[in-house]
Amino acid sequence: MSAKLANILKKPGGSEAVDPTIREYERRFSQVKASKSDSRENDHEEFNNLYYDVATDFYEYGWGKSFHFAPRVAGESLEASIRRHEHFLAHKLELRPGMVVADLGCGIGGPLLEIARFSGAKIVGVNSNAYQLERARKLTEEAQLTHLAEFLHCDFLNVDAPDESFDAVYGVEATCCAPDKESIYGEAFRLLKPGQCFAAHEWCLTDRFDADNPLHLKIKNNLLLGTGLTDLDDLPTVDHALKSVGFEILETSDLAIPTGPSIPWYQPLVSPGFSLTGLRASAIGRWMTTQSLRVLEALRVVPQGAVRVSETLNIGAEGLAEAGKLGFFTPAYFFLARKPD
Amino acid sequence: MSVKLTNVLKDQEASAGVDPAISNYEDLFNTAKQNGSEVRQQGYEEFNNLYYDLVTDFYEYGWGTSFHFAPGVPGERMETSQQRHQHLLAHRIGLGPGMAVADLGCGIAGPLLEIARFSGAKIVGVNSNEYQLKKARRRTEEAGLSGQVEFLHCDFLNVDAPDGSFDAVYAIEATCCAPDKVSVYGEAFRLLKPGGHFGAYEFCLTDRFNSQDPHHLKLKADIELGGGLLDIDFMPTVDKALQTVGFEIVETRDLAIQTRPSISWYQPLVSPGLSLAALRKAKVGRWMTHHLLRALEALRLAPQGAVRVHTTLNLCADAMAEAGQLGIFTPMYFIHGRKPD
Repeated sequence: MSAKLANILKKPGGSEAVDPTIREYERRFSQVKASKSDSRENDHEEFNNLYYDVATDFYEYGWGKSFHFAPRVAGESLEASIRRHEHFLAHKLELRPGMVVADLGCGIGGPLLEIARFSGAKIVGVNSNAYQLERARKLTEEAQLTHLAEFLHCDFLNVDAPDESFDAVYGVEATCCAPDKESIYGEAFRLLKPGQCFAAHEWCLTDRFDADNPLHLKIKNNLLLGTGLTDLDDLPTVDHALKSVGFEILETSDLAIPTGPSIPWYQPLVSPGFSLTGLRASAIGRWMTTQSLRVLEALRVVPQGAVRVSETLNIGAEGLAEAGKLGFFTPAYFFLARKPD
Repeated sequence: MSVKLTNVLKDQEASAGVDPAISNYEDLFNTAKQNGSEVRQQGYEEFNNLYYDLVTDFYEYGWGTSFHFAPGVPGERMETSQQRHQHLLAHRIGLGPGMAVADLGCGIAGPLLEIARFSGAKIVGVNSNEYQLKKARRRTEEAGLSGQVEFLHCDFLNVDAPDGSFDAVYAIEATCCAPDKVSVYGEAFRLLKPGGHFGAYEFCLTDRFNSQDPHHLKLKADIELGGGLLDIDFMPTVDKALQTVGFEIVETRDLAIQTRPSISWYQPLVSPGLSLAALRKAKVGRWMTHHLLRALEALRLAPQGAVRVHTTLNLCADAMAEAGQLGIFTPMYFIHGRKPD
């Protein structure tokens, strides 16, 4: 973990824009919610960029380079759980050296680099956020994986690649950023060669979500605001969207449901582990981060708006933890789907 | 890490017999070395049992529950590197839910449980050492994996299962315990259904090993004595044995050769990391263990002979680290064969 709190949001040319960006993001979010408009009318690409311009440094500081959760086996480190979750996708997709694979919404490339390393496949990361791609390219060079990792700067609903150009496509907790599932799954379908597979760890509401329960609705809204989303789908909607764009579903499973002694996926957001990284993600660590940022912001060490970003992200983290505890949300609905021959 | 030094070798019914047992083990080793393959064939099971009765507690104390090496990615924990190594084997031989798989020489089942969890396959662990199996069974229950995992208490050259009863067979740094490669690969071949895959991480001498160099020979002998091995083969011997018993070779590759930034497999034996578990493996930690054991043995808190067992293991650890640095030995020659249809 090289990121220092004092360096947060320091990216060249961006520091003056932090406060306006987080405010504009929050305004857009409220607008989508208030108008009860179809979230499809929101410009998702702009919306996602507003969020990730300011959230990325916090993700890396507080969580690491792989921006996703993972089911956890009792006694193991978060790092080991995260890696298993990435290897699992590579394994299910049977990724091999020589294959060309797309990672839709690759973040700063943490999972992408691990999957390339593990499988030997060549992976093309798709991302519309220029700042995240800059980090991804740097990390790729540091890992000396430039021959196995490439990046495309484009909207993942409109990928700059011909039809049927990939041997596999995956998304790690990223397809939830699309305005609707048909659009993103349809793009995955278009990119795949016939007979090849698409897999993802999808964010979903479970059947324990009660749309008439005000507490559930409040937690869901906090989760969305703090994680840069406008809505969440339930499991049947995901299955239906896969089929409606033409996929044949091979396997689905909510991996957040434990099969043996385990640590809940949301545990790192609740209580600190023994490592510094563990502390940063937890409730007390996030509180400490926000307080430190207050001082740093007053001293002009970090840009104006940093505290506000931190607070908004905290609302999301608390929403995730509460939704996880109540069991009405999963970040690990796994599916494997095949494009027919 | 639940194992305490004062408990090492205490579970053994015959803790009074540790000292005679290590003498007996060393005698058997020397006899086998002098008399060649005939004694090796007859005595190897007894030889392995003597060895693992003595060293299992030390392995668990110093190394954890997975008794094998792994290449690491800079910055990661050894636990994570080991799990990647386990996942890779499962991935390459294509393990999946519903498959029946044999783990030849399963130790106390650290890798077996992780591979079961990762792949969803049903795994049968084969081990001739009762003490290890007792630990393996307990760990399987604790992990809640009893429905997916079984154990067979038998010689891995003569597995108590019909011909063609497994979809896949694997072994992690275990087939090196067989008196020769043809016998153990032949048993894997017999157990497999036609079309089934066999994968293993094999101990091998590399082409940098010079049979005329007395220092190389001394390192090899120390690894054999402290590792409970009768002989270490060159890679071409391993490849040839696979073909001799009928396998088609899918891939063979020395995974110790890393082209990207990595932590060498022998690094944990050389310098301590930041954790207690890492310290125990490192040279300085092994020196501390040695002196603690001396005191414990004098106070009769550890059985007589414990220091001698530890000395033998230490000699092996030092020899492995040096052989690794010289590049004359690898514990991770990956072999992957397929039984023809």
